[in-house]
Amino acid sequence: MQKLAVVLIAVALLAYAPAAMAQGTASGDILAQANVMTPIQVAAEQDLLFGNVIPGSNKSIAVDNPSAGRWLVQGTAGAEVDLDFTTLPVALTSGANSMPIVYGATDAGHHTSNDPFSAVLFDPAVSALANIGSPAATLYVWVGGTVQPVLAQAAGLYTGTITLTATYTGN
Amino acid sequence: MFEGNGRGPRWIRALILVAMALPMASGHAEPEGGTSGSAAPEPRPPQGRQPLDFEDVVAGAAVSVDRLDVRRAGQFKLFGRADQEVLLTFSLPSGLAGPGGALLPIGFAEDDGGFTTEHRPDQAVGFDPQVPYLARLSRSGHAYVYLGGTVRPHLGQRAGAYQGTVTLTVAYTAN
Repeated sequence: MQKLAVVLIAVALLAYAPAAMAQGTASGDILAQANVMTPIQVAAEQDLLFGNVIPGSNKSIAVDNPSAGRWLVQGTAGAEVDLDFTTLPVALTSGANSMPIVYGATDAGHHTSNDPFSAVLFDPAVSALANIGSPAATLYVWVGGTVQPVLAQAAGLYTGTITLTATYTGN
Repeated sequence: MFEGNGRGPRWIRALILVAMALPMASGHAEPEGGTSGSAAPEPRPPQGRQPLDFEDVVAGAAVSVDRLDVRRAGQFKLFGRADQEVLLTFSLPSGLAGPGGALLPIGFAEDDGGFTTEHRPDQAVGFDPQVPYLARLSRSGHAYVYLGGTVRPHLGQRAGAYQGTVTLTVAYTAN
């Protein structure tokens, strides 16, 4: 009888144990995801060329002029980029001599194809937002300007550097 | 002392009744939506409500999603018994799979997990998703888990969509 009691106590404890340790597991999933964008490439395709200028006579090059400066921006199709002329000289130099250069509110432009006549114009002194073309994944940017040689401008070849920086905005 | 009646003494019958009664007296109830008839119910699977979405990233630039980010942080909803203590264990990827077998490294910091009994990420208690975390469901048997993280695309990272799976396992404890 005592053995039976011990067995029954053991049964009782076993019956209790699963409840006291009641454990179970269940799992659920979510995705972690990211889209790695094509790195932006900015290629300078053409210099801004004023050609020969006459002292005392301003000379302008518009965006749709074949001599306008041009870049090709390539990246993720459809992505928005910030176009910023991070270097925009106020003068071109020739040795110790300099010649003023100015930019108007429509002296820069962008378009998804190489068509400056259809360009969206903007002020190169102010950054602009544009979308890289889809599906071609291209964006063309042009810049013009006006040089202002003074009457006593020394003869020579005047140069300067214009830098365009394109940055994804995340949109 | 022993009173025989042909079916065993009374105290033994009482013991049997106690043994039968104990599991029922433990207070266990079915988890919400549960279908099991077991006395030790399985937790209901957590509901994956929102992916951990890093959106567009640029090669060479690490991007983090904060667990407080309502739009981009990963979200789970937990269902279970009222006031039940649960052990949360994440299975976290070390890389997201992309085009051509490319891998995008992903990491998780000590505060990238968040737990709250209300759907308010800003009220969540932070925890390290890399180690199991003990928490307690609400009085209604609900809770929410949020997950942030960081991807670190290298400079030559191949462009394209990358994905990985985050699994949250919920285990009932004895408490």
